[in-house]
Amino acid sequence: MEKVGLVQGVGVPLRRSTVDTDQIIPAKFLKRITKTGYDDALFYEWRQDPEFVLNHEPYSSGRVLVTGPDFGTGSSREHAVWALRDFGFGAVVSSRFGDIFRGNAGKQGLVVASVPQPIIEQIWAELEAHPGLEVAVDVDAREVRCGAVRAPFDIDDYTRWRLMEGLDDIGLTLRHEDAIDQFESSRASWRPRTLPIREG
Amino acid sequence: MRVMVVPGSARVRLEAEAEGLHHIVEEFGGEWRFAGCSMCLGMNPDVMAAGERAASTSNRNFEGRQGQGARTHLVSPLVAAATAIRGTLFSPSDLGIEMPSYSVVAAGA
Repeated sequence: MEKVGLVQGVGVPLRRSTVDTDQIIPAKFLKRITKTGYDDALFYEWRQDPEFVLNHEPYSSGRVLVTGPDFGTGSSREHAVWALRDFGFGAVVSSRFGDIFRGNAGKQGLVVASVPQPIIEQIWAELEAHPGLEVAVDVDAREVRCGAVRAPFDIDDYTRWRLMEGLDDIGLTLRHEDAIDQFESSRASWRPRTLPIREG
Repeated sequence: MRVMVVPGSARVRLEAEAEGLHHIVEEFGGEWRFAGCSMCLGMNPDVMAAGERAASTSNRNFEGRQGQGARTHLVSPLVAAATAIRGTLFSPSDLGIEMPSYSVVAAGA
């Protein structure tokens, strides 16, 4: 996983609340067996509407999604994070997130930043007055910046640390590679072994 | 109208068949299915067409979940059965038949 200290790019105002994972990616796309290539599935039904925000420049090259409360509720779906990531989003800013979505995002390098709804409204106003305006989600400083708006956001210390160190679950385990090697070296050779994947 | 009855598990299916319940469903014209996802999340061919509505005993009614452009009404099994009989959302108590009485008992400490 890549280290994430700052996500900055075109902000997309999504004036919707309670965006559940069935809207983020319909279940019919879950039958794919890859972990990448879900950009076409993101908000699939909404994108059938030519007026939908992501169907227009500059939002089609969006980097930060700014949305109403309760984003990512509903069924647990890692694909929701993959679809947002594959489309190009590096961060989602909302006034409240579904717990499972928040966890899935943090483990895969997608930043979720919680700010109060009045701040969301201010960012929406900026983005709609200046289409293409960039939003900065500064994980290091725990701050969201957009035009004249500057606001701290909530993120727990552990998730912030993992993002800044670029540690997914496998990365966390491999921090203990020496201890794992030591354990395996003293274990009877006929027993099952856990071996790290070696390059080449 | 299409009626699908999907047991919650293989065991429930066997127990229902032991009681002969599947005959009632099939004689009614409903589909007696194997346990599985069916229409719960629209992941397989069991989906509604746009504009259709389902009285569903599943647990989520998000827009489009059971088919693009379709809507879900979450109902109890009793309401689903009454709806199947009348072909429109219907209360079992309005069917004019004697209803069994139920009581809810809190389990646990």
